Amino acid sequence: MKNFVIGIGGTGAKCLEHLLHCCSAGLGPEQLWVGMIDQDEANGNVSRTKVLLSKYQNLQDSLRNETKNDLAKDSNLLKTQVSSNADSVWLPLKGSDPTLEEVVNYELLKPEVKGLLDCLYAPEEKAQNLSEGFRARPNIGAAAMLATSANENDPFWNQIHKAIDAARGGEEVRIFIISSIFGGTGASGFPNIARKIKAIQKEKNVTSNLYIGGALMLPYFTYDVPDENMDGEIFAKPAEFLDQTKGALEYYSKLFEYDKIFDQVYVAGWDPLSKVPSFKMGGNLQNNPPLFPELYAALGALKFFSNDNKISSNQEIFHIGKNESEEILWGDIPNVSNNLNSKEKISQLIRFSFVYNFIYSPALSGTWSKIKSFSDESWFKRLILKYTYNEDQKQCEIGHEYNQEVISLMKEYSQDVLTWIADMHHSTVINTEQKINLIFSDFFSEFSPKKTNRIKIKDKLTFSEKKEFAQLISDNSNFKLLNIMSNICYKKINKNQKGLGVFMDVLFRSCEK
Amino acid sequence: MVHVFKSLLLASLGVASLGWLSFLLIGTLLNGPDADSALAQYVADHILFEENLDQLGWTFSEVSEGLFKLIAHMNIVFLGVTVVMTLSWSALSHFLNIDAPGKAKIYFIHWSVFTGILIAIFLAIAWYFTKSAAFETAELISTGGSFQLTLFGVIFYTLIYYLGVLLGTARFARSSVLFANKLPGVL
Repeated sequence: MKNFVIGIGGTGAKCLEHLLHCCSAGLGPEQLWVGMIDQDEANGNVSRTKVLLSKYQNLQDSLRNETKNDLAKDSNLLKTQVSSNADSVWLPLKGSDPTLEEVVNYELLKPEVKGLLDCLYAPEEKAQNLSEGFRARPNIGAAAMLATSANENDPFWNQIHKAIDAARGGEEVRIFIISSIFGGTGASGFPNIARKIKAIQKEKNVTSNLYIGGALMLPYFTYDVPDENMDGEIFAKPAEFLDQTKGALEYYSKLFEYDKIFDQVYVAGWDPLSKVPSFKMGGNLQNNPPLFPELYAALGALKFFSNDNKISSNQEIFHIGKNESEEILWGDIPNVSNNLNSKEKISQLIRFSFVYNFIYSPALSGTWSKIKSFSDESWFKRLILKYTYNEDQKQCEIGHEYNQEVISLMKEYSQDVLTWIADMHHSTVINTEQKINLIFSDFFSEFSPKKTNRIKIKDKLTFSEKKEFAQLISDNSNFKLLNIMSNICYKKINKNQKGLGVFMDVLFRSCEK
Repeated sequence: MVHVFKSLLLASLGVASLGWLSFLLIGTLLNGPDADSALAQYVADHILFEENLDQLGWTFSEVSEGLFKLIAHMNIVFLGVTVVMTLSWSALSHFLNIDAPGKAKIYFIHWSVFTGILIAIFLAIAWYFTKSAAFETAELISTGGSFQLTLFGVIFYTLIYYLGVLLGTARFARSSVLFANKLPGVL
């Protein structure tokens, strides 16, 4: 089975961030192609996911390498083989800072068509530079999207063409699109991209094996727009989100009634809305925090890709929500399938990231003369020494550059996971009446909502801070660092694992409650 | 808990590796060794206080049974304490707060104190059996004999204990036990 996920706009990109972390935790399918669509290429949300995607792929290349470091097939850590184009973001409109007028060649149009455009778009909308996205104007985005062609020579559309060819060849192909219903890029891209895919399917005369799913994010966050210097600017106004959503839902209800584009649609929203602390119109400064409802979209995508998900011929629409109290709990996170418990896998990844970042990577970083002080310890002998020992040169190669690179890559990724979960934990409920009780992060991180880097992970922890690990996951499990130390000394080593893959997998499995 | 039971099993194997000798000795002493046997000869030559025996008008054959029983009971207590202490350390080692690489070495101090307590208990047991007024037969044991019984008891049973904890200590706590970290990681 081939799986494709496309995140459209800032929300789409943010949902992909959750999805990638879920894939590292072992909740994803065997294989997944990831792409993003955003006119605002420099957007902070998109850039963050782009960097994360590249880190995931680097780690995967390093730790799923059959010659040196191999986690092997059975390991759930970084289980999903994630691929993407060299540039994972597709810009619908190429060129430097285009306007809608330029995109539709306004000056060359017949007067009556010009008149129609004048009716549909205000002068400032036609003249708005689009390099920072469609600024919550789906009418602009829709025109821009429709003006582009789904050319097979384009690397992005080439993947879609290949996917449809694979479906024609008998392989099952699932494509999932994630976006918001209330923004600019996402709202305009969601139906139009799906339609373009359907059009290619029709053109290639593929009638089976291709399934399209989608996650639509209803309004789930808001922000305060500063009063000064905003006159004449086009930007996403939170006050308009609900009206936009109402209009969009009416549109989708008609679309779904008359045209079966999607096989399964997941709809998620949030009430009361999370309050994003800072407002930025677009560009690299628009770096919104990961929010809990986005995790629902990511899990919806993973459910769609799950082998257990039997897609019927009827169009299915799933709604998702949390418990009715004001508190977000682990129980509010749905499972991907009967065999994949989301809560257990995500908490396992969080524990792994914590212990790797604060406990084991400091021990494994540096030269052999520093690391060898642990060489007599059982965990080191069975997981590191044995698998990084060079028989010819009679030495342990853990201190070598290529191993140190893997150790450092995993440390960076672990910090990303801790930043992601801590940021989501704080930002989802800040300035609202809601509460969240998933993790306890204050002992290893500092949260500053006004700063660009909202979360600062501490460099080192004190003895008493390390003891707080037992409360890291709010599930009363009392899982201690001692349990992990014990587990890594006893967990069975899977066959076919090589090099650092052995240690990483055993440590990951040791973090399972 | 599975790991704790594994540890207890390994510790028992370690104890059994020399402990069978103790069993053999205790069994022989309780049954009464032959008067001509090396064991009886050794007790007569090195443990007994011959002058006391002569003064009290006893012969070796008359006191030997009581003396052998005293030594047998002393060994039973030694063995019991050894087993309890070995299994206790092996189980407790799983609960030492070793939560990071390199931390097990700190617990060498704890193990040393634990072992020191064991040796002190051995010395107390030896004193109780050979020097206190608890056993009448103890009056027949010479100072040299008492010293030898104490020395051999402490060395032999400490060795059994060491073999037990060497194998039984939790893998991650091995750096706390002398030379235990030289064992292969998979054992």
